[in-house]
Amino acid sequence: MNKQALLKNIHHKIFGSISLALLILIAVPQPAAAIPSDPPAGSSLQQRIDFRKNELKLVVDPKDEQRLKTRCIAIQALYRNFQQELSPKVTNHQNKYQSIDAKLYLAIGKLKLAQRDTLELEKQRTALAAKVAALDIVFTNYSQSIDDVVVMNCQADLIGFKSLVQTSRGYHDAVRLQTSDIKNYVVDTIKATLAGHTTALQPK
Amino acid sequence: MNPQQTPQNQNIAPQISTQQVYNQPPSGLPPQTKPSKKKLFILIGTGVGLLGLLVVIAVLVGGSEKKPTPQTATTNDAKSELLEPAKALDIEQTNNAISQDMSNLNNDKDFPADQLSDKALGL
Repeated sequence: MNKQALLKNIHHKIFGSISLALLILIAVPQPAAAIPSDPPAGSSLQQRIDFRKNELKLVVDPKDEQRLKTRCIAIQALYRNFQQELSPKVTNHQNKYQSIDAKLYLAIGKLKLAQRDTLELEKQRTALAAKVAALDIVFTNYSQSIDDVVVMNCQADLIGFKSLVQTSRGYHDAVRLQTSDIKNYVVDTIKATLAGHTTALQPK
Repeated sequence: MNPQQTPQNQNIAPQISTQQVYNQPPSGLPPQTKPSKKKLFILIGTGVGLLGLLVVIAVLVGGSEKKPTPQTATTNDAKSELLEPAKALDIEQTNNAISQDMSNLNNDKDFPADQLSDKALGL
C-alpha cells in the first residue's frame, strides 16, 4: 500500500510538472513566431509578391474567385486608409520610445554621481533599445506590406493579393505583440528599478 | 650702276638713322620708365592682394572664435545639469514622466486586433 501510494505520488508530481511546463509554453508570448520572414532587400513589388506566394503557398477556391475580384478593389481602398493612418502612429511610438531612452540616460548619469549602482538599469536600457530597434524593422516591413497591397493589380493576381494581405496581417500581429511587450517591459521592469532607486535615495 | 646706287643708298641711310634716333630713349629721361610702371602696378596689385588675404583671414579667425562661445555655454549647461547627483525626487519625477510617455501610447487603439480580420475586410 505504501509503495502504491508512493507511485501515485510520483505520478501526480510528474503529471503536475508536465502540465506546468505546457502551461508556461502556452502562456509565454513568442513574438518571433508571428513575424513573417523579411522580404529580399531592395526587391521590386513583383519580387515581393512572388516571395510571399512562394512562402505562404495559398490557393484561391474557384468559387471565391469572382467574389474576391470584385471585393479586392474595396479592400485596397481600406488599406489606403490604413496607409495614411499608419505613419503618424509609428512616428508617435518612435518619439515616445526615444523620449524614454533620453530620460533613462539622464537618470543613469545622475544616479552614478549619487554613487548608485546603475548596472541593472543600464542593462535594461540596452534591452529596451534592442526591443525598439526590432520593432522599427517590423514597422518598416508592415508599412511596406500595406503599400504593396494598395498598389498591386489585385484582379490580375488573386493569389498574390491574398498572400500580401496575409503578410500584412502577420506584421500587424507582430506590431501588436512587440508594442505590448515594450509597454510591459517599461512598466514592470524599468519603472520598478527606478522605483527601487527612489526608495534607496530617500533621506533617512 | 654704282653711281646710281650710291644716291639711293644715301637716301635710305638717313631714314634708317632717323628711326634709330627715335627708337633711342631721350638722353634726359631715365631709360627704365616703362618697367618702373610695371613694377608699380605689380607692387600695388600685391599690396591689394595681401590686404584682401588679411581681411579674409581676419574674418575667418573672427568667425571661428565666435562660434565656440555658445557651444561652450551649452556644454557647461549640460555638464552642470549632469553633475548634480540624483535625489529621490529626481528619479521619482523621471519615473512619472516615463509613465506619462507610456500612457500616451494606446496600442489597442493604434493597432486594433481585428483591423485586418476577414470580417473587417469583408472577405
